[in-house]
Amino acid sequence: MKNKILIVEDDKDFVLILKTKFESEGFAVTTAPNGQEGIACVQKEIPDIVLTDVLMTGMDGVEMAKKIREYDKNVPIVFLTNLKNTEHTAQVEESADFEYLIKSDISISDIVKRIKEKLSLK
Amino acid sequence: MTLELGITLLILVSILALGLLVYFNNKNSSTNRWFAATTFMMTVWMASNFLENYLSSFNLASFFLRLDFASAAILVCFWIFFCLNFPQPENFLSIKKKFVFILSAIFFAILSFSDLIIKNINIDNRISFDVGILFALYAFFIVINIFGGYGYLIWKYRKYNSIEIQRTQILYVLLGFLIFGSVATVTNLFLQSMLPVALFRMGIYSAIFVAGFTAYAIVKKKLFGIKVVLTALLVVVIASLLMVDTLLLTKNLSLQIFKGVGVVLFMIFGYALIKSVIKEIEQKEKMRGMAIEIDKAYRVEKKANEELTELDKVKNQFLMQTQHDLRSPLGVIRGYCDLLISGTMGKQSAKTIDVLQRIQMVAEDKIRDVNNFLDVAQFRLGKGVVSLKPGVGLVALINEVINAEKLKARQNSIYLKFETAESEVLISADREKLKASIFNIVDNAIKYTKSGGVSVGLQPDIHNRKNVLITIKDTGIGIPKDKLATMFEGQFMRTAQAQKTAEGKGIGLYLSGQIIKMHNGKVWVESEGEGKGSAFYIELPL
Repeated sequence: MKNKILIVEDDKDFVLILKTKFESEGFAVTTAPNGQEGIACVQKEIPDIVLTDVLMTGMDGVEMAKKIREYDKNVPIVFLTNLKNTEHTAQVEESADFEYLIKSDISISDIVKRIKEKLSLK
Repeated sequence: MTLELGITLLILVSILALGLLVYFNNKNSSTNRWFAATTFMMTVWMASNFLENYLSSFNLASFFLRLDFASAAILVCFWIFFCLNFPQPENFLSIKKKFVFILSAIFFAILSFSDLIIKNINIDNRISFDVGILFALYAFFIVINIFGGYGYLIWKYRKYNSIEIQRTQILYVLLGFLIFGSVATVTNLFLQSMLPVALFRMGIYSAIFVAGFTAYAIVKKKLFGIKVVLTALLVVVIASLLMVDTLLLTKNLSLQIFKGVGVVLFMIFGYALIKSVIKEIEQKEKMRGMAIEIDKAYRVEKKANEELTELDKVKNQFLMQTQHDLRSPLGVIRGYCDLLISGTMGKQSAKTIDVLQRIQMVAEDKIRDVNNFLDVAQFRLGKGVVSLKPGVGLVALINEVINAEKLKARQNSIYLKFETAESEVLISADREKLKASIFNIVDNAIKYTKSGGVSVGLQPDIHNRKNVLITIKDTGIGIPKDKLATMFEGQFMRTAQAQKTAEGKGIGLYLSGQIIKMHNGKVWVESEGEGKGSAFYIELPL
């Protein structure tokens, strides 16, 4: 049984990089370009984990995560962003089972590693 | 009848005197001129209004009735001009409009002597008449101008700042004219034929409010600037009366001398009084000027503060956007390299991988430059960018830095090692920022080391374990003694003198210094001199 991951990200290049990498690692990948579509995908696909950008046009990642938590308390949500804003980080860290990764501090291989770790804990 | 005559005369004279006083106080002021003109027309209107009911000759009574209507048309015209010039002259109406306006007032004034406005005048019992075909139009002209003037003054009143004296001046003058105009319109224009003569006179009597409120404003609120004149006038009148009494009415010489001394004393007293009034006015003027200045300064500062807050918001948005826009493409370049190097897109040759690693390294360096730059921007803009959290492992953190820089060291053919006896040392830190600051120092050491290498060490204070010391020693080009002190100052921070002696080290070391300071730590560098390597020390509290 393949692990299902939902990637919510508005940068098309970054989506392609992540999708290629996760598929090569044996994941079933669904992608969405913003928060609204992300929520729809969570309801339809029921992924094992959500990897999302924070700053996106339309609904942003933090808002989407809050909406997802309203009906799904369990699916792990990992934020992946360029933001290094401490206020913003704090906002996410306050809520349980969210993880926060900074794009510039982590390689693609490390992202996969962290996601796998997160899933094996389940 | 005598009482009515007396009251009317009193009001008439006081209004006329008020107008003359205001006019002669400053003939050049259009405000004063229009006030005098308005009060003069008021007296004409009041006199004719009184006489039309007082005289028993039909011809004279009907003449004054028509003059009553004619003068009212001119009066409202002057009233509007007064409003336009009070408290300061303003060009609210164009000359063309003013001309049309004056013409229409004259038009109604002339028509008052025809049967178009009033006709069939009768003085059998009391004066009465029938309205002419243009009466409604005439009434409309009168009412619209009276109330238009009120509206305009109210509008001006609201425009003035609450502490400006003009506002109070407008208030008093407006009140006086408001009472007079409203009463006169109701009693004399609309209820003319219905009211008994005694009540009908209310229109004339209400003019006393104009005199009263204006006089009050003159004395208390320095309207038309004639408080001094009023005082002087009083002093002169009393002095003259005393002099007449002394010189003409007193026959006894010794009594004359006695009274003469009294007159002189009074004149000295009067002079002192006038002087004190002038001084008082000057003082108040000064105080008011200061109050207005303070108020203005306060407003300016308030506005500046609001603008700053707004600017701060824009600045933060700008920083966020810049972070996003600069880092995103670099992250993408690094990500694609990652895919290719890790073989996700198929196996690559060793040469390709080497090139990809170089591309990736450039991208990573640039990402760090961008991070440093933005952090510096945030520091310089006074935004708190460091948030300390307990439980940050220094050994793991330094290992991450070493791993990230290993490749660069290998490509420069130098060694990079980390040696410590500790398994882990936990401190309170902002992990990302501290990592960036240590990274900058290690990266700097690698950059300036051509042979040998860089060794990083970590040891807690042996004596009391209050601090932990991180050392970064290299065998590089070293640092001249005179430059050691300025190593952690950004070039942009240096004085012109220091810029001549120290060569620019970019923003990396400056930022490292700032971050370590915000961790309540110390950072310094030692070197035996050029070519003899250098040692960087970071001391952080445990």
